[in-house]
Amino acid sequence: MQRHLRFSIRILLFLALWGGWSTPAYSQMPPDLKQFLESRSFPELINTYKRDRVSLLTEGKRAKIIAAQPYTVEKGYRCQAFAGTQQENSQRVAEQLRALQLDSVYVIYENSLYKVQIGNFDNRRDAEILLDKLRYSKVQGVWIVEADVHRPKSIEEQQAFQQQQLEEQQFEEQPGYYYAIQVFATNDQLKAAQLKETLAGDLDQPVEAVNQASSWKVLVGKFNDRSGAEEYLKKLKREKFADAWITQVPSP
Amino acid sequence: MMNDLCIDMAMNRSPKSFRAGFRKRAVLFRWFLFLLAGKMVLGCASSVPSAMETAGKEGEPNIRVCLVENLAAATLGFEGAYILELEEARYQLDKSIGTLNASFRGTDLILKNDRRYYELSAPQTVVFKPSASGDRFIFNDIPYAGELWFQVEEGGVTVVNKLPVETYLLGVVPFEIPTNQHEYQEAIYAQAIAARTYAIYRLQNPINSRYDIYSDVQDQVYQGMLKKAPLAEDAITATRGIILANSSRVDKIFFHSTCGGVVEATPDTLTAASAGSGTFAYDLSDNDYNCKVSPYYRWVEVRTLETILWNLQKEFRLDSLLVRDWLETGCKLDIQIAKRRQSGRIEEMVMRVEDQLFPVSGFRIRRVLADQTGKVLPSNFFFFTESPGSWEKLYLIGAGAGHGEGMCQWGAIGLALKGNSYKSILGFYYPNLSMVKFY
Repeated sequence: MQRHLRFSIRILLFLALWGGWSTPAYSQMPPDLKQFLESRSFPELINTYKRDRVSLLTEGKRAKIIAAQPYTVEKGYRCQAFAGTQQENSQRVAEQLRALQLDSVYVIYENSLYKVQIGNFDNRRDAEILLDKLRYSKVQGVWIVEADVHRPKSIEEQQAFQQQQLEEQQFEEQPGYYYAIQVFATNDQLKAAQLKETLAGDLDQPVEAVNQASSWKVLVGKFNDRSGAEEYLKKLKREKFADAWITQVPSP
Repeated sequence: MMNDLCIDMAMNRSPKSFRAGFRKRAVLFRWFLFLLAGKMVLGCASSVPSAMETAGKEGEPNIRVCLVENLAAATLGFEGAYILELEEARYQLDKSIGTLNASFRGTDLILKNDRRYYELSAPQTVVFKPSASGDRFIFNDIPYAGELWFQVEEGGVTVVNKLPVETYLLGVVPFEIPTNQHEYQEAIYAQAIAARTYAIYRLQNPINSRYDIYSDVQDQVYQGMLKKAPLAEDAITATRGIILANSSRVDKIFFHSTCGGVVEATPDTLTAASAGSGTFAYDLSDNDYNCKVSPYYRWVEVRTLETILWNLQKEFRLDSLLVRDWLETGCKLDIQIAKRRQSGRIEEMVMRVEDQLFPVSGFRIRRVLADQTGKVLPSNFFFFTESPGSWEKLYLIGAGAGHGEGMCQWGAIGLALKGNSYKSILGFYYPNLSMVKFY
């Protein structure tokens, strides 16, 4: 058990340091991790550290969008001034209400109807106070409905959320571009494809033929830092591509 | 061992006897030869492929390789002169006609560009024949030698490349094993023999009546004349006609990229005795794993929950709205290993999203864990852990590439680098098979 824990910590540390690349190349694996994995037979690694089950979770994109808002969504009450199938009518009613200096006027689309709602109230009593005010202002045909209402987040909650976002971003951070080594450029797509196939079998780095500025370029490697690319460039220059150079390529 | 003399006599048909003008006599002669050959074959060796068509050169057979099944659209060009004989005329096609666009509409195959237009109705087989051995046709930007067949049927078009086995190997060996280092030469020899053995097995056990072999990993990767590899050419020439067989038959043999240090034992490959266990063997020599030189010896891959869900959608033909809903509203994905081989390779896995179960096994495991570009996982030989930074990510820590059965190609390279000959490499991975001159 202790051994398993030690390994898990070690692996997690390696992976955390390594970052979140989706398609890591073998040569980009941290040397410590590589050495560790190569130092044992794989059945031994599996028997010692295997897990039979793993669970992944997502709260969903909708929840993420809501989490990014400066408010939470809860059950409550609103005054509703319109419900109909015509979007233009709903917008017109909303404009009339905003002209009365009312804030928190919402146009929502729900159950195939456009609705105009006002306010965010925890209880029905507060909604009734607004309803009275609206009637006093000669706004007719308004009624109270149960609805999802917005509750503003406290400053602490907002700060905690921003901090969490920052941490996730740091962990997930991927450069907007990567470094690759250009070994060949031509107008002939077939030639580029042939060279790509040849090199793909020979090199331990990904090889791609990309169309840029109306010519086909054969690129070797995907390096997140220039030093990694320079290291590999030396090898390529030694072997066969004396004229190769490093180029920056936007990440897909 | 096979009787080489009998094979040669059975396979050698004189192409000169098929000249135009002597067709009738030639047909009779062909039947005579066929009957004679059949009699001799039955009389001398049961393992000789009696129905195999030969290219006429020292008994070397032709093989029909499926390039595309159910053609939708493709491009076709020519280098050198190709002959197309249709009922109404005989056409010569060369570089000057440019690139033809091929498509299948209704029940017709359409080949056209601004200079040519051919409409070929089902059912028929359209054959493009090269005028000389150096002629090439370019199909979807890949040059191929030999004949090009469009088998036009009402349900679709199958594209087949028919060519002599040795020429076929020129398009296989460089794509199955690295061929850029002289130090790899012995491993390349071994690969040439293994690939030829597989081809001969497929000739004796064709996929169906229309073609013998696939051109992808379903059989062995074939990319025509796309890559010129002198070391592969040397190996194919030097081992011409040599295959692996046991005393009575040509078996289906396996090979794969990288075993990660552990080869699955099969009747023809590394024996269980050498492993000291029931079903697998360590790919070791000189106390060192042979395929340690492979870029896939050990690997780490990362997958997101979203990528896995979209892979499941493709594999199980799920409604994409369902997957979108899972991603919109949130979901939980459980992955459970149901069965591992003794070696540790995963045989069965069950995935569960909400209330839906998705059992996956074999190669499908590698497909459902493909990356977002669709590139499948290198092998089933892995274990996993969640990402330390995100509940939505999975790290897969694995070894090797391929199924792990038969010869490990990077292991063969490792053995070659340690000074082993191709004979000892093949003897190491296929101890129960011996080399036979097939033609």
